Amino acid sequence: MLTVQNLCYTYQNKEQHQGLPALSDINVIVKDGELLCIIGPSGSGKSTFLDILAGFTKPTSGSIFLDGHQVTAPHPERGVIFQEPNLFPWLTVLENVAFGLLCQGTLRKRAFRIAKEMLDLVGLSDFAHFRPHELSGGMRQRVALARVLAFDPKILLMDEPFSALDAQTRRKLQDELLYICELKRKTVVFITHNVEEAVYLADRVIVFCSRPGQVKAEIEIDLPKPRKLSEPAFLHYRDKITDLIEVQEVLA
Amino acid sequence: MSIRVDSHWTQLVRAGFRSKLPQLLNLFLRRLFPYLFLLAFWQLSAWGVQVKGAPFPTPIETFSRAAELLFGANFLQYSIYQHIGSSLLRWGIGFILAAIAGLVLGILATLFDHAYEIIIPITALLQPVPSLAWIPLAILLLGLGPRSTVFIIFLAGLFPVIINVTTGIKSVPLGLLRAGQMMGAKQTTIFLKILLPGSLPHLLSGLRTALANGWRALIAAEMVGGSDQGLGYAIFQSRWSLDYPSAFVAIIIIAIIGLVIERGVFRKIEAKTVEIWGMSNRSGC
Ligand SMILES: Nc1ncnc2c1ncn2[C@@H]1O[C@H](COP(=O)(O)OP(=O)(O)O)[C@@H](O)[C@H]1O
Ligand SMILES: [Mg+2]
Repeated sequence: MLTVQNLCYTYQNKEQHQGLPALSDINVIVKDGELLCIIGPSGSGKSTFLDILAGFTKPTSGSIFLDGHQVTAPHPERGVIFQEPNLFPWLTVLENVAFGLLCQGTLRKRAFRIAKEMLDLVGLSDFAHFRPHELSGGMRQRVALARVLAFDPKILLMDEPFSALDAQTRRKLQDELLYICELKRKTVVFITHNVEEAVYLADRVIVFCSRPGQVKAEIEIDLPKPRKLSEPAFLHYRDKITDLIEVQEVLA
Repeated sequence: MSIRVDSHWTQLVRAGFRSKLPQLLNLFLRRLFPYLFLLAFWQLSAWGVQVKGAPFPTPIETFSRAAELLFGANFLQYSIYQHIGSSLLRWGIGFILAAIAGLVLGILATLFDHAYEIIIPITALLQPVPSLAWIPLAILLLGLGPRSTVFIIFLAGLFPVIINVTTGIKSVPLGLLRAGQMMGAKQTTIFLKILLPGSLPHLLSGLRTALANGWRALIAAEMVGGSDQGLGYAIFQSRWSLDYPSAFVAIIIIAIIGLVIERGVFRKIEAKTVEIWGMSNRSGC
């Protein structure tokens, strides 16, 4: 379980005067096995929030606990999938996937065996010895997913991971993510600015609003998966969340 | 241009040589054309100058002198191979020292802000100084002799290495560092497995500049006395000996060695690393 308590964050600029807070008093609990989507207009602090959960950024105040331990720095218990694949261009696909395990002291043989399994899982076994630049955008994001799954983190933190992909590839990856979450019972915090994506994936959606970034609403998506984009209940959720976001964008 | 010619080559090979002989000849001439042009220009200049009564080596004189030298004739008391050898040795030592010092200083500058604030302004200030200008300083510090020569080659290479190492390390995307951190990479792993390979394109171009600068500085460096051999020294001395054909041979050898190192060493390293990695054109991944 991931617990976020009274989290605030203000970017400190060079002149040392305090700007508007990017995040203000965020309280969130992510249950084990849950897929939580965070949606909000651009600039509402979603990325800032995820960076703090990952441990890349220290909160101005407030705290985060994962299973009772305070989060203070990046750690492989929290796997991050970024908007860009951020793969190492000098390593092959297989080496990229094994990188985390090798860092964590797993023996080479075992690390590469697991890496192969993960590539199998994301359907890229045939590309094990390719370099990242030889893959398509969708394949690169699959590798990014595989390299995180390889070291079996407690939670996946994903910041608009599919937003740079075309609609078809994006849909496929969404289905693969759902399949993998089901299979491995992963807890996921998934950031998106795409309402349909949020309703398609999430067990629960949290809507952020901007200036300052705050939790505006929380909606349980009570639909069995896999969901159909055209069913009335789906459209109902979609419109409800769209309305919540649009009200802010008119104000902004 | 060279790409077009290369694909032309492969086409020719596929089609078989025999039937395409005239085309092959044509291609051969096209490749050679720049050099033939240079030769013609040289020949004309030589005639032009000789008309005025001054000695100016023609290509024929130069090449026959080259043959003599390559077969072991002495040039300023030493064989051409001894001149080449001592130049290569000074160049190599100067370059290796520049590469090591440049790497260490560049890495220090990226690791510690205080080091950066000291190293970078000094580098920026001294980098544009031409190698020739360091001669008095070299003599004052190290006296006449090969140590001064090496020092000048060292300075010619040092600053480009520092600058390229720091920009290279700073150019590694934050996302790659964060990826390493969240996978549990320790500081040393991040440095060795992410920052170093990530900055390799810049590092290579720094080393390449250092090597080229050092080679160019050779004549300046060997003007500092204390030694009686080296290609630069030989060229400089030919003012007195009036052995201009030999000086021309030395110039040609300098050009060829520079080209061979560039093509044979750096291109090969790049082809085995940054090109395979897709980093030479900075494609994002
Ligand atoms: N490095 C930074 N320095 C100062 N302000 C920043 C920085 N990064 C983001 N911000 C500001 O913080 C707010 C939240 O940004 P971000 O977390 O990137 O939002 P989102 O991911 O929801 O689009 C924005 O108003 C943005 O301008
Ligand atoms: Mg963002």
